[in-house]
Amino acid sequence: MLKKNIIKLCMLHLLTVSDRYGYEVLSLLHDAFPDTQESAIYVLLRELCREKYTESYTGETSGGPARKYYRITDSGREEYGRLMKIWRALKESLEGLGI
Amino acid sequence: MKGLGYFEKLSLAARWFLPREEAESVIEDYRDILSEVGEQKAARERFGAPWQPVMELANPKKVRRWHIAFLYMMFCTVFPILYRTFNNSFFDNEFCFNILITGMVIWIFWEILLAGKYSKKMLFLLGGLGSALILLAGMVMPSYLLDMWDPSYVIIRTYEQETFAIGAVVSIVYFGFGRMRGRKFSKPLLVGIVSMFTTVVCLYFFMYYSLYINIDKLAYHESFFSVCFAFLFAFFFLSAIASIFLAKLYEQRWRVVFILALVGMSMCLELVFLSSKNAFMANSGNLNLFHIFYNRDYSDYIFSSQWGNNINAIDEIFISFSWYSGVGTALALIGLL
Repeated sequence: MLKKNIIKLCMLHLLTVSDRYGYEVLSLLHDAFPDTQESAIYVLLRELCREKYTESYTGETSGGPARKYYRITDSGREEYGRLMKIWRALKESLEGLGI
Repeated sequence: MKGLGYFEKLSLAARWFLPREEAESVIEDYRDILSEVGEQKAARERFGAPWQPVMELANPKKVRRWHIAFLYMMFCTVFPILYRTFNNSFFDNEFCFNILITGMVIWIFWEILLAGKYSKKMLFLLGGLGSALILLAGMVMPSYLLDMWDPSYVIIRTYEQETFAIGAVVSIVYFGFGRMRGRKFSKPLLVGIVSMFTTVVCLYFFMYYSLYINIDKLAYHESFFSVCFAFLFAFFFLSAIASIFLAKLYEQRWRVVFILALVGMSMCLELVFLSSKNAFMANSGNLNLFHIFYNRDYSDYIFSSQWGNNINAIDEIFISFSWYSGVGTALALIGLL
């Protein structure tokens, strides 16, 4: 559950920076979490879409076929803020323990 | 399946295990992703077997519900063959299958009603239908158990037509209706529906022709028509099986072909059933339709002993035949939605 929320936080963070297409999100997160399969990361991406924290749209690429892009929604930004708060609190607790 | 690529296998798995809209979205996503990945070997290394990404997305409850509905539709398709295969040898009568059907009706309707995919209005309608079937099952079950105890107590018996009706209703309930309104038909679907409907209509009018117009001439070609009906039954059976898969994998309106195929199978079996009703005319496994009508006296036939009137016997048969053909066509029309 903790790792799942961390990956969700990372996913939302990536999307606050810029809109991204599916493969890009999977690759970046798989590089950060190599022990997590990309199909599992994709499940979380779909979960965020289902919960309306992200939405998809078809965007044009230069010289290539149209792609599906993901962007964060307003409720997604709120969720991002909530997860960041939890993460900061966790980080402080761990630092307090000397970890 | 061996010749299919990674993406094609993943697409089939998505269409089988996921609800339609979700499957389309997942397929679209993986098309983009796999186009970046490139080689199939690399895709397998990164994502595992083609069905694995799909299974991670699938809701186990929804998959179970689909499998229950699928198995039951398959059972309704295969049941007439099982019944005819085992009826004269392994099982003394059909009550074993009827008890199984009754139990499954109760189970499957509660499963589907609890799936949560229908509005309150539709649940009310489906609940009424399901409750009626459950009540029927409740009335029928004691009859079956009494039948086992003493066959003379039998009040209600069911035959192949009931399994056809149940299979058709399960198909409509599972796939839902109303969502396809206004959408165009694909060419293969159109061809499937038209050819199945035409075959069923021709069989219906052949029955009318046989009963009322020209039974004598046809009786002389009995063995030819026996072979024809056997091939026709095989055609309906294979169409029914194929259409269940197509309805799930591509478009739910293939269930129209499924329902009409079950109607066709019931028609073929009705003709066989009629021919085997009389012990003197029955020849296990052979079609003897025309023996019943060839002897104009009808004194040797069980129908005349039951109804005591030559004309009424034929009318009764045709009315019954028309009734479930009409019900089947109505269900098929609903299945178009």
